[in-house]
Amino acid sequence: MSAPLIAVHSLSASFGATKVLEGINFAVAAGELVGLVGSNGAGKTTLLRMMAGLLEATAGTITYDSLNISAGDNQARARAIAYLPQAGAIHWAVSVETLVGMGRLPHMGAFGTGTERDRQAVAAAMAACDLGGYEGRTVTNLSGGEKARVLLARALAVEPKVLLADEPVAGLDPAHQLEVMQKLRDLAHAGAGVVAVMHDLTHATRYCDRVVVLYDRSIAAEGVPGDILTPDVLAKCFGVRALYGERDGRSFIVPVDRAEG
Amino acid sequence: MSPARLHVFLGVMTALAFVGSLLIGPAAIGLDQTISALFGGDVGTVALIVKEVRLPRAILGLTIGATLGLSGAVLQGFLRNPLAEPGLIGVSGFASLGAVLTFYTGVSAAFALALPLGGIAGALISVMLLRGLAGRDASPLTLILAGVALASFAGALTSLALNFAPNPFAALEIVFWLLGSLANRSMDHVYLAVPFMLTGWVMLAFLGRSLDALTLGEDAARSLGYNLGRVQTMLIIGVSLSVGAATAVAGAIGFVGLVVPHILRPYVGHRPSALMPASALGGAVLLLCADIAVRLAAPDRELKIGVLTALIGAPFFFILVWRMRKDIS
Amino acid sequence: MLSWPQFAQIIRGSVIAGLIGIIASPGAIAQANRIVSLNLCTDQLVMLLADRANIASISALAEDPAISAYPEMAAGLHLNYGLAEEVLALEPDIVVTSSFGLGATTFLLRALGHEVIEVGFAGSLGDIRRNIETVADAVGLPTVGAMMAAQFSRGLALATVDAGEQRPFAALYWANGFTSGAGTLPNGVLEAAGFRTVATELGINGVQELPLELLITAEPDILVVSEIRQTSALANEVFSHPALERAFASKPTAFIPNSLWNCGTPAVLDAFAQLAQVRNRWVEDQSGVK
Repeated sequence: MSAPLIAVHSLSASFGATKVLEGINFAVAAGELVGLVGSNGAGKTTLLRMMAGLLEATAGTITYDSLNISAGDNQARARAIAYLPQAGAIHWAVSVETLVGMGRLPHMGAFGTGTERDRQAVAAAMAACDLGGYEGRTVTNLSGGEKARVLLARALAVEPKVLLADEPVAGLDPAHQLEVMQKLRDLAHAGAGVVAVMHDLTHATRYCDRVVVLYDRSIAAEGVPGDILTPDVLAKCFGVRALYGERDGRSFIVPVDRAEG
Repeated sequence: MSPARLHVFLGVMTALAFVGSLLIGPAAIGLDQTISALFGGDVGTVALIVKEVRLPRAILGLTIGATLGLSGAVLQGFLRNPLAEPGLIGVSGFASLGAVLTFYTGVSAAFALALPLGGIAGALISVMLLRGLAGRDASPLTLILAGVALASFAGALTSLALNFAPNPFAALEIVFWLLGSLANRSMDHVYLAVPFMLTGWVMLAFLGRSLDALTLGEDAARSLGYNLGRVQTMLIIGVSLSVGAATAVAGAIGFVGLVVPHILRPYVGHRPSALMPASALGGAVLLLCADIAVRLAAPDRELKIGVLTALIGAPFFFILVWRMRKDIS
Repeated sequence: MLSWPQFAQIIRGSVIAGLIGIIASPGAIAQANRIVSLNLCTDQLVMLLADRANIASISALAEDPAISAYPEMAAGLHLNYGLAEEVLALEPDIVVTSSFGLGATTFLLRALGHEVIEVGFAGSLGDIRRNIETVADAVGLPTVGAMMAAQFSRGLALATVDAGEQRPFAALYWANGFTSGAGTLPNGVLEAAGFRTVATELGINGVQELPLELLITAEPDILVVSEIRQTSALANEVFSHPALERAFASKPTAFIPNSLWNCGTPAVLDAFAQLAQVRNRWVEDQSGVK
């Protein structure tokens, strides 16, 4: 594995007196899609936001060694790391092209209008998300699935080295879920590091190179999905029993019962 | 109309309204006389009227209108709330209060700059209070309620201060400070207010890109490299400087910052950064035209410009509230 | 020359001594013992006409030298704020007030059985004589009133400048940029004192805003200002507007205290005296130029 893009060392976080994360060690390298799973409130979003530089750690450090970001350089960080928030809001009725173009803001100055290079990046991001012909459409008039693709395209337009995506498939229909997961995998295999928070264990096992299971403020298990998402881990960390299966070389995990005890 | 053509159109309209403001008034003065009064070495009655009565009024109409339009666009972009406007959220009201306190205590008579500084201080305090009252992630409804409460409070304090002012005209002057007027403003007021307004504009101009990013919410905006704490500080200082100084010389003129961004937003593709210059120009056009209208409509009545902007603006407010009902509930 | 308060004292003394009273109307009406006035203008006439001992109360405004011609006479008298309950507590024989401004108080006092005499607003010089007589009748001193009215008319006839004389063009400018036109006492005083006025020329009726640029365009010979207070007021900013200062930089500006003509009282004759000086200086300057 290549050198980590983002490395988290002994990280702890708390909101007031409530500890959210404790002693987290974790890294993401170029070329891998890492699935971050765990039950609600396990601290997945907090970890992702800390890696994106949106939250301060209570203890521990985050290093960006191979990203060459000097401390406090927000714009350099923004060019290297894209963050896709959970259920991303869109507050104004801008066009799809304008919204995707916002991914280029870290590459511009306060009054920049964008270069040819920026326009190419936007076009490429839109093409990657099947948004050809959507340029002039108003984002607020799009369906949930279309919006999610536009927001992903916005993140891709940054041309980041790392993409941190918080539940990128939440609220999407099955077809679009598969589409978005495939995009994330393509992006990783094209050389970026991708960390995605997810709940669907089948997605985790089908698309992710590596899975990290958060439980009770720390990492309970980490590794290749097939090795990690065992019945024991599911019972302990999610409180469920699941059906495991495989068909045509594709495995699936379907939770069916609450685990006893 | 493309944003570029819109800006050209609004620029031309601003220039026409500015010239109209110089040409139209109770005294009949022709275009040629106005031009020679402005650029020739005339010292006669016409020159006096054009240079000392109409010119300051036109300059203040332009700059104050631009200030209100720009501030409305910036506040709406930052708060992601189409109802945010200096008047409705209490900034103008507190700026008036600050100016009233320096004016009627005689401080501004001794030290002229105290007047705009009082307005700016009032505006700053209002923004602090608004943040304290509504909280950081206020819903549109909470924010407007907090703002209306602040605006009413400022209005009451202004009236109270004027009731205690040793001045037989206080009752009349409450109307000026609460509604605003450009009548009988002089070049002295231009010199006092315009530098602060320009400084405020420059600070606000740097915020366009960060407001674009905020279309995606705070986390996404921060992940795009914007330090929202700094953006907020720049915004508070920029709005306070420009609206505070504007209000200190012309009273609290309402609704310009609500109406203008609302009308122009579709023409710039709803993009916050593009809305800023458009709203500044649109605000200038609206206020210059409103000021011409009060001169033409009732030259012998002291019709306040704020009455006119409220007559235009309030229906827009109703429409916006109507549209937002479903979002809020 | 006697001041009006001194003059009033003398004629009142004569009446009481019976020197004139017997000849005029012997005891037809008794002087009211408890007079209450609620309005600045009636206050001043009451103070001039009635004995201090018989004045139960006057309005608090009568004490303000900026708007009252006889503030020193008000010293020591009971002051009211125009509230019905203040008046009721004073148990007046007669209440005098203006016909506008305190309608609710007047209505209430009448409903409670008090006699309230309303005195009209003085919009012309003729109204002053009428108001003197109305107040004098109300307080039961018609003879004193008749003498004061006659004396005032004599003074007015002496002060009035004939129509054929030179008439400088004057602009009267109040705080807030207002002027007084037809149907107002100050405009009537200016015209009787030998001036043409901008307000009349522009056809202004009553008190109206006179836009600064119209004032400057009219190019009057003299600017007459009547009310400047040393307090900060937006209303006064118009007086320091650079355009006004420059337009009248080389022309005379007269200050006539507002207290002399904001009410129809004999003090108007003092305004005449001051205006006569202003006019005489202007006429001299004109003949000097020619």
